[in-house]
Amino acid sequence: MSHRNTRQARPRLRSRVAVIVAGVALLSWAGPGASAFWTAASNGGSAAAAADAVAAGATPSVSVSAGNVSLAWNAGTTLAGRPVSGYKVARYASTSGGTKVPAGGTCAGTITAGPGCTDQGVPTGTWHYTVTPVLAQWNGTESARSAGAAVDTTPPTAPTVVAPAYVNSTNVTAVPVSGTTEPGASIALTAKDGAAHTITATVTANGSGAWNAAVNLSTLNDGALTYSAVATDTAGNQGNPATPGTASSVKDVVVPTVTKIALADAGTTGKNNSTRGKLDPGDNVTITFFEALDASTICTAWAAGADATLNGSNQVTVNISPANSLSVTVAGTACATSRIGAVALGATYYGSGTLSYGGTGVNASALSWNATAKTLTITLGALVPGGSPSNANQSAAAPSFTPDSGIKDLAGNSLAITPVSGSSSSF
Amino acid sequence: MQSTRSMLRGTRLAGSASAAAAALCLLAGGGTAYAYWATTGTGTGAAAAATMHAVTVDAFVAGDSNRTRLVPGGTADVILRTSNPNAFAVQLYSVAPNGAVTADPAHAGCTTTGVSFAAPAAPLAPAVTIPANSSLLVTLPGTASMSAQSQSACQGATFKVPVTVEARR
Repeated sequence: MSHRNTRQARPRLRSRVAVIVAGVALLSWAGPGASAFWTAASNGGSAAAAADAVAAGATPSVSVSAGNVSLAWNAGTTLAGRPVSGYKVARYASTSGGTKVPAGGTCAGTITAGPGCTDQGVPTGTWHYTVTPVLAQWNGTESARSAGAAVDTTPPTAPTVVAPAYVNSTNVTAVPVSGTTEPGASIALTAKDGAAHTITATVTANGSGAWNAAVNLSTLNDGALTYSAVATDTAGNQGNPATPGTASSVKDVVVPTVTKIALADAGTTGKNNSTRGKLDPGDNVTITFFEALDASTICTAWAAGADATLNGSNQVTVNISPANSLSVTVAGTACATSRIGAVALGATYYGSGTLSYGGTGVNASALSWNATAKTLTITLGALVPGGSPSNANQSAAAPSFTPDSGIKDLAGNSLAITPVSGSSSSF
Repeated sequence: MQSTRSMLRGTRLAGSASAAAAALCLLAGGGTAYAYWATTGTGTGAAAAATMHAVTVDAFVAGDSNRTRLVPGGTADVILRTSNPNAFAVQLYSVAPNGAVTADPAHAGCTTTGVSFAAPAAPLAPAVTIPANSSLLVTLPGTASMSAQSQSACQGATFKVPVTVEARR
């Protein structure tokens, strides 16, 4: 009985195990299988990507300096607005067609700086520039050609320079220096004294090539001055500094002064019948100056630096006023303009009437300038009828001289018109 | 005896049940295993209970265009139009390169495109779902790159990027 029961229990156990195995198998295989994805792969096709493109270059602006052309342009981008990596610059000799010449200097090759560069050593001619933006190996469209850059590599010749012979107290703060050069050229002017002090100025010539400068030379020493001028033309070419245009002046800003006024009796000058202390023909007054005057400012008929004398018949009339002031009248035929002044005699030489001395021939009054002695001498001629000198002998006294306005030294410095006292003396 | 036969039948029944269960298990498990692992092939997948048709990469339609463009040294988007012929939505799982990138015929001089396609990690993120029986323009951001060797003639070109795609349900 127990053996039979054992034989009946084994198949039940096997069935149970089989069901469990089948269940486990179903759970372990069908379960994961059910949870897996369904998947499918295409058998090909094409996606797409798109490329940007470099926009056309901006037309450059140009400026010329000698053989260099400086260029500037707006930064380039791609059509989508991305920056480009560089630019290629070229030039043409015409507005269209022609040969494309790669630019040199800082424009050579593919430039990454800028946007701008300088083409250096450009030959003479009118050049039109283009800019081509690049991005790696991509080249954009070349820009339109620029306005013409006129390159002139020929330096200007030395300009002419004109300066006054003298720099004086009147013009020293604005000495006029002028000249000619190429139209529009810039002039670098230098004024130098004997001690190598310099003053510089820069002016620009007008459309005719004329240039003018007014330079203040107050700080330069008196004496010889030299001027040198070097031109730089509108293309930037500088003339040779070793061979400038030159001119010279003499600087003298010392105002002339009267150093002595002396009356002299004719007896001391060779005239006969002269009485000391009275007015007589042949008596004279000599005015001595610190430096030589421009004689033409005394008598316009006289040469500036030479001795001169007026002693023709009735050319010079010496007048003594009732106030004992001596003055001189010069005939217009002798001097269109004369400037002398008045001498206060310091004593009573006047007597009566209109007291004048003129005369003819050897008896004529005289006015003479001695450039070496720097003296102006007024000599009385014959007494003109109508007046009488004082009969009383006058003691020596100090005369004074008040110059006329307009008397100048050779440098153009004006003689002061204030009275100057002389030494004690008499006719 | 009766009980023995019965036991024998029971045993045979149990054995038959186990065999059937094992066969069913093998059949079902084998089918799902095929469906899960097949990533290449003719474009159709198989499932135990249904057929999943392959998602196709189609020609572009009017209005399809790249929003970003390549420059040497840069990256840009790749676009593709996919169609799901199935009656259920599928997820675009992966996009893989499938050949050399070429320029469009209008840029025949662009023989060195410098363009390469970097397949995005699968599964695509964010997920791309193609509705049932629908076509969808898919953008893969920054997956195209262009080297500095790209020729000047490539400017403005549209590049053909061969790909295969895998979809999953």
